[in-house]
Amino acid sequence: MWDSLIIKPFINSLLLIYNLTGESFGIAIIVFTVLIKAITHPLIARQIKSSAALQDLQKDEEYLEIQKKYKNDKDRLGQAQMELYKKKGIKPFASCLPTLLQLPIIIGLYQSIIQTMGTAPLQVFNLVSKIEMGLSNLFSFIPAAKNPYTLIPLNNHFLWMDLSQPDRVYIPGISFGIPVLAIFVVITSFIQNKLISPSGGDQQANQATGMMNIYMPLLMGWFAYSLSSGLALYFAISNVISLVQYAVLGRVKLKDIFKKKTALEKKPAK
Amino acid sequence: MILSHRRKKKLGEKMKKNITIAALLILIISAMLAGCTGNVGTSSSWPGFSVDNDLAVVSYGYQLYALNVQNGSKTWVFPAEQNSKIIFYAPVEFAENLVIAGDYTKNLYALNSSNGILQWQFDGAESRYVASAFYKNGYIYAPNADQKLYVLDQNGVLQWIFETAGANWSKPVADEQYLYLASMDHNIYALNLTYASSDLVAGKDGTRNRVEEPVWKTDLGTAVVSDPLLADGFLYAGTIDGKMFKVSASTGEIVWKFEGEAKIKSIWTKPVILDNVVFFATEDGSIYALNAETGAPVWDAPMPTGSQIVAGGVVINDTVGFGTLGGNLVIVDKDQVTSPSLSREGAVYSTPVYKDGKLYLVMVNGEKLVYALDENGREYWTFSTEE
Repeated sequence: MWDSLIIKPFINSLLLIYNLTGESFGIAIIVFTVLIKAITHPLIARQIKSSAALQDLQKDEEYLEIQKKYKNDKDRLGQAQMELYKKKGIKPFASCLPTLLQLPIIIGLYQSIIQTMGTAPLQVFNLVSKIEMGLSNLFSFIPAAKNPYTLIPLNNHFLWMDLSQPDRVYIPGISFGIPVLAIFVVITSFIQNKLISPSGGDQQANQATGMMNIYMPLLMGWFAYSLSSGLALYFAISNVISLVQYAVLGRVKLKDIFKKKTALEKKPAK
Repeated sequence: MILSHRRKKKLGEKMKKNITIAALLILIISAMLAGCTGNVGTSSSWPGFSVDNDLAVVSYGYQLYALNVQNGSKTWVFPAEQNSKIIFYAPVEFAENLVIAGDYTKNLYALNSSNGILQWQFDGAESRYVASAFYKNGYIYAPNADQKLYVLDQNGVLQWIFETAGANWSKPVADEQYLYLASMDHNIYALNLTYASSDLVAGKDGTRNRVEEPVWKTDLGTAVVSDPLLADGFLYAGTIDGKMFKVSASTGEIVWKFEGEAKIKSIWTKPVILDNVVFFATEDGSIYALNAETGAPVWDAPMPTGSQIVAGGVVINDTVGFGTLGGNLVIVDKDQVTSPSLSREGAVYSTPVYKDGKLYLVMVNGEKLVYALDENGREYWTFSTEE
């Protein structure tokens, strides 16, 4: 079911893009990630807008008044909040629904890239068994479109990288390789997390958010460092596109990054 | 604002809860990503298996296991201690008193066949050995995924290199005239068995050890990942887009090509020939029988087995067997009369071997790794790595 609905269409689309973009898997990953992000953009836009509305509401006088009034009665507080959401036209779950809808796409994209990059027998066997002729037949009017089987094995070399291997750049005089993409992924993940983190919450929520803002980029960086550079490329492109999406929706304010940090570092008042 | 003691306690509890949620989220995401990637070392291929007169060698994971064919006892293991950097999947080749084994890093080892002691090691390749090396007349022909074929003498001294345009996952075959190499670059090549140094050209490193041109090469359209069969002056090779070719060994001319009426799935099996019938199976588990002369199907329709097939066929007297990922060895003759399947727990990825009345099955994810059976499926012995 998962294979038929997500993985097979994704793998065959990746192969088609690889075919039509000069048989470079690096370019195929970039183009495919851009396309998927473009298709899911309405969902992301909705998520960002809903999230922004919820954040703005936290500064609303009526909201603050309710918090104060029912601080010892959680049931009444919840009821009053729902009424306020209704009154203001805010759908609180509208911000998490798009995230849930995107999740299978993100996981599917991630798995498809791994499976398509396979260079060992079992991996190539799994890849070949997922090839369908339907998509390539659909685009057979394009002269460059080839039988997808002829594309195997894929050209995994892109820029300085072998996309099936972890990324390292060796500079004369330095005894170890520099993980350029991993560093880029850490930086872009950090910025992205900063921008999407809700601001103005209570101290405890900010603590948890602060922890996520530090550990998530490090975790993504670790994956980019230790896994194949094709995945690191996907993480990097995905982060860049997300930042562009936030910028398009007017949510990128570079000063916020430092402003939030200051807030996080602020100790509780005594 | 001054916080009361009670409020502070409540705040601390809430903070702990939030941090726990954040940590859990990070763990879930990391598990999800790690789960998607799999373990490249131990799940990237299937066991290699080779049998000589006295010895059966399984290449599986971190060690080679050499077994006595009489009783399945372990004769030796290489390396003696597991090393996570040494991974074996390619079947070994027997070369006089040596066992030649390529690993998944880039090393080719020559071991004393009686005790498994390392005789020499060649580390000139740049990628993994997926296919078995081939031995003939004192030379070892070792295809590598780095798009090269390395030819060494019995002392491990590099003689010459032939470069293809794709990874080489197929074991070469040879007759008295030529060596034949099928490659993932879509071609099948014929090379001389030996080259004088005057026939070689300089490689990128300036060493004069490269064969510039093959005797002939034939484009089969897509990659060949299985071993070709050489029989009576002809090569039979299947491709990953499901086509079977018969190629003249002397000229490289395609004699016939079989692609079936409907699109057939990829071919991972080495074909076998019996009574002028070529048998092969496809990834979706169908067995085909073709007239070796004409390439015409012998049966009205391919025989479905209900399970995927990766392993090559094995000739058992006047029948042919194909192991499936469902754990069966499906046995059929050229008239499509089937014999009872032999079944064991696990999946058959490695080509079964039938030698001196013993049928060897290697099972992945089964109770045992190797089964030595008689033709009716009774066990002579079994072996698992824990023994």
